[in-house]
Amino acid sequence: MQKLINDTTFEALRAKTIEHADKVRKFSRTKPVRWLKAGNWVWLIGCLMVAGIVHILAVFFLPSLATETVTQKLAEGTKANRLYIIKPEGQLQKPIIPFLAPDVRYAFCHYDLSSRPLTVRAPLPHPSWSIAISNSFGDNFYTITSAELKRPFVQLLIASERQYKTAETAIAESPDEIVIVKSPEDYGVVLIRAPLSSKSYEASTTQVLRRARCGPL
Amino acid sequence: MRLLSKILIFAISSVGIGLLSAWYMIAVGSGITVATVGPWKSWYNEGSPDADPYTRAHIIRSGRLPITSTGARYFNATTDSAGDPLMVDCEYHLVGKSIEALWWGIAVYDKTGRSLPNKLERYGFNKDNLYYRDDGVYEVRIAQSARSDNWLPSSGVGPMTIVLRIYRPKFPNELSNAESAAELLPTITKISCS
Repeated sequence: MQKLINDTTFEALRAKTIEHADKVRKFSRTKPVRWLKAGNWVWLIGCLMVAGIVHILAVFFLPSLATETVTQKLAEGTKANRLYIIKPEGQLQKPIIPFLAPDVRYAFCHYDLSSRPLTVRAPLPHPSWSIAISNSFGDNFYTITSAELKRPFVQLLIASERQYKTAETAIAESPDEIVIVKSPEDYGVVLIRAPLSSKSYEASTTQVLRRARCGPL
Repeated sequence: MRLLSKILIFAISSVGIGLLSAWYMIAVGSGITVATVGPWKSWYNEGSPDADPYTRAHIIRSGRLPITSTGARYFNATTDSAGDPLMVDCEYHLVGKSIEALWWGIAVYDKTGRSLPNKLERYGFNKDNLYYRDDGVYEVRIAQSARSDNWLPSSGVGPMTIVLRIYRPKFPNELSNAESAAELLPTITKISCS
């Protein structure tokens, strides 16, 4: 009886092994495997390696290949170191910046620090108002909201690395409370966001935004 | 001749694979760079100077000026909760809960990032001008013809994007966690298409 069981198990195992060997043989005869066996695996690995290099180059060099950065777009028809209020959504044919919030009023100042540091004075009367500074590629390196400031007004001095010492001396002599911000590049954008609770606040918000200033030190 | 064709195939495939995979990682993103909660997608590090190269390239390509994710979170939806692409000529029903933040708003755009033109000049809702139900839940209807309460008029044809932006969320970790974020972000249900 025991022998019979052993024989059956052995036969089943043998059949399975043969079946598996058949499958392996069939697979090794398939086109892709024969193609690889013909020495083409070197080409395949080479292709994947080159694809990897192309991938890395495309991702890393896209910033320098960008036809127009945000700063360049904003600079079209506007002067550097001056503050502009972006028209409400309904009045825009084509938004300067895509995906702007329709119920947020924006004011921007694209700056150029090549000759002098920049001063920004802005009223931030509501806790949700904010002022953000980004470099020409959209990296936001400084943001402050009215809620964090705990006062409805902000004065910023934006200086490049080489202007920092001069800027520090300038604010030390000033009686005003000024925040000094180091800009990683000479070019960038200051963007003031003024969220609206409703449309009825649009005119008054624009009025307050008009009091904001941006100019060289 | 055989070698020449091999070299040609090699060059086309390697450059093609490299560029296509780069495009996918920049335009669509992967689990490493993008948080996906139902139909909503949010790039973890958008706007950050320390962002990974994919996120940086994505922002440069988009031409946007986002605040870093520590100060704001942006959730974009290009599909409904069932995974079908959002189309301007369809009607959608959004149901969500208010989010604790300094400010948050929801708005609809065409594929170029422009608000959908309409006579009412209503392009979005925010936490202060939405009508809420007694249980604190809000419902928004995006449709070409008038609807009651929170109606966002749409117009035209083509794909549509819904953006939910949250400035200074009180509990940012809730938005980073898929389970808690799913509770907060609205569901998008297609009602019909014209």
